[in-house]
Amino acid sequence: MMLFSHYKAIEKKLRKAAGLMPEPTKPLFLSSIMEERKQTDRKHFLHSLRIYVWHTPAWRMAVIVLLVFAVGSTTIFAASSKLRTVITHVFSSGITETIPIWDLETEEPVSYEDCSEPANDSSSELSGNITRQTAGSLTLIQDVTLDAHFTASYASSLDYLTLEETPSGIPLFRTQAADGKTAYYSVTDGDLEEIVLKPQTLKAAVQPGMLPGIMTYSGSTEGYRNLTLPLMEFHVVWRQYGTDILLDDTESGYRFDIGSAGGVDLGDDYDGQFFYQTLEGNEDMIQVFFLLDAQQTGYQYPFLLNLKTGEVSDPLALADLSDWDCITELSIQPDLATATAMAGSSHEDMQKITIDLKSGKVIVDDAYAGKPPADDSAIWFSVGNHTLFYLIGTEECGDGYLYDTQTGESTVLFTDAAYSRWDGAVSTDRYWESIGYGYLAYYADNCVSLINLQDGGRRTVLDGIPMSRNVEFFMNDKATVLSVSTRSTDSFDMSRLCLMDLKTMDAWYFERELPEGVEEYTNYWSGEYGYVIEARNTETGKNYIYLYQYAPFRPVLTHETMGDEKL
Amino acid sequence: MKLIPKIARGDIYALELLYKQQKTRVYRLILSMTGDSYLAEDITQETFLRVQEQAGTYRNDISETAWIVTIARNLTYDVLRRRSHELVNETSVSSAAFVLPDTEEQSNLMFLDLIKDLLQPEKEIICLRILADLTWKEIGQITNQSADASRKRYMRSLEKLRSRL
Repeated sequence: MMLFSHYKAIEKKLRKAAGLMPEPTKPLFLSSIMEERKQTDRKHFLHSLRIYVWHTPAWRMAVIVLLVFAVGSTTIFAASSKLRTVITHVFSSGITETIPIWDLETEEPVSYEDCSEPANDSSSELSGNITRQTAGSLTLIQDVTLDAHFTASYASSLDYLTLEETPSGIPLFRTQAADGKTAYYSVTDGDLEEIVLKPQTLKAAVQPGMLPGIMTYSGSTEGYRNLTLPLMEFHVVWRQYGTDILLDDTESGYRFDIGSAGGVDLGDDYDGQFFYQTLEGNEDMIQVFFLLDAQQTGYQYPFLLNLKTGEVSDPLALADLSDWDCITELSIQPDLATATAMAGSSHEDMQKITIDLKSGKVIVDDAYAGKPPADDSAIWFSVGNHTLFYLIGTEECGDGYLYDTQTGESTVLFTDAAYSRWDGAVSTDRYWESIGYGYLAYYADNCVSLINLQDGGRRTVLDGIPMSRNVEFFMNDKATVLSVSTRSTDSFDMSRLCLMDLKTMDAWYFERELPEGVEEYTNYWSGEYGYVIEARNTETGKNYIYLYQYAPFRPVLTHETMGDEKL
Repeated sequence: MKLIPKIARGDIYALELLYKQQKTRVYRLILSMTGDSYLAEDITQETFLRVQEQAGTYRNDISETAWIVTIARNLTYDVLRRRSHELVNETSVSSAAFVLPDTEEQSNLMFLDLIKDLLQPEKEIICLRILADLTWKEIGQITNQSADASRKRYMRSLEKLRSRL
């Protein structure tokens, strides 16, 4: 005890000294840093261009000439959809195709002298008289102007408002107020209308020793797997909206119950969190994970909670999962018949498993079957369809390949030690980025390509998308439409937005003009075709949230089309 | 409300808010490692730029603070590594970190003076605990050791300081 008090005294002295340390004086100069980065990228591009010309093999030059011819031809005959079809067809027979990005106002492909500097920088509103049958469109279907009570960005003294989608696809605005309370709103004529949904609270308990755990990453820590948890009491708050269950949450779904009145006391040596998930279409049950020392052990106890009865059950009670040291991405189907997960001896060797929850039978979908013997320098990723993506080098910097586990054939995706965008892009002119759903973005030779890993590595050059760190990819939940937004360096607005239909590979380029002083700062998908943009007027401080509907093949362009906002 | 998922969606105001929340602990940690206030400002800025760039890779099973501190720590070691190669080839990174500068900044760095006799790993764990205000498991995660080992090392470090203070 005496020793402990000595420690406290030393800690107090250290904390006092720490408090005397200075604080940073600079504000966050993000825009200037971004501009600096842009200049650096440009220098690297020029440097790489010289190397490229001198050292490019003849076959590569031939491909380049062909690409230049294709782009040039497309530009000249921009209005001809037939020619475009022909060109697309020609290139689709090889690994790479080029698709022009079409400007909806001029009905011409957007042309760039190089991918970094747009030759045509005009921003204009859509005229509203376009009738091309194949044109995609973005139609404003809801908008809301937030008064001073709300902000679209979280702050301690204001309420945070965001647009979310219920499990069955109904868009709802939700606020999590500064006092921690949650409310839901619909929007009518631009006004928020509160939907009164009574919160329901359920207190439940997990009995000691009731739940076995799973290890979500293999590590050196031991001893937790067979740990018998003590009695754990917890509570969950939700609201019923039609057939949808809307869970109240904190910390993005995490509820910290440890030490609280209804929480879990595991002593000083353990820490835990509850994580709740709805099961879409199931009004009675939710999936709960108890995460034990999540940041240290990766050990989880998944279970089902019946909201009507408070009953806790172990969905994996019949399944024998002892063959795997590492189980992640456990997902229980709403009908409670099956569950899927990724399982393996470590994170580098995961395979998908399907668990029949009624019989306990485990079916292994071994995507790695047929993989060549272990190569220490290769990092493997399963992308489905008997296909593996692998990197030779490191996860940060390597050459990328596809491997067909049935034929044993490898396909080169990119070489020259391309860096992952998030790790090495500062110092290289070529880098790649995983955008999920079996797609990679590849930035090289001053152009941006989309690589479809599930289609033999088919590469589509996104003509008109500049190679820039300001380019951002967002896939919708169904992986059917890809948003490619290009942020302005100065204002971060999304004045240039490209939406690509991945079924047809049609891509449409929407120019947007924003009133003076308005910044757009967030864009994201809401469901398959809903597209949300949040903006703020920097002069008035007002915030705006817009929900657009993307219509892939409907010539629906009215005065409310994108670019004609009620700001 | 976690901010990093919002930053991943491009919300720069969330980034600004995160900067306001975390800048002091990040800056002080970097300052304790470099002893150079100008350099610490630069690395702090770079840290938050990296946060913005890498927000999409953030996993929910680590706290935002621990994640940011990890980025800041790695960036600082990178800078110190480059510096040690530029200045004195034989100087190791660990010996270049947490060194009290011989400048007028000393007056602001009494904290570093208090821990100057500790070994580098001991200094680091004190800084992560006191300056960055991390939990044991977060410290363990960052320094690649168990939470218990982190706590023991910290207590040993305090024990060493006891005689001096």
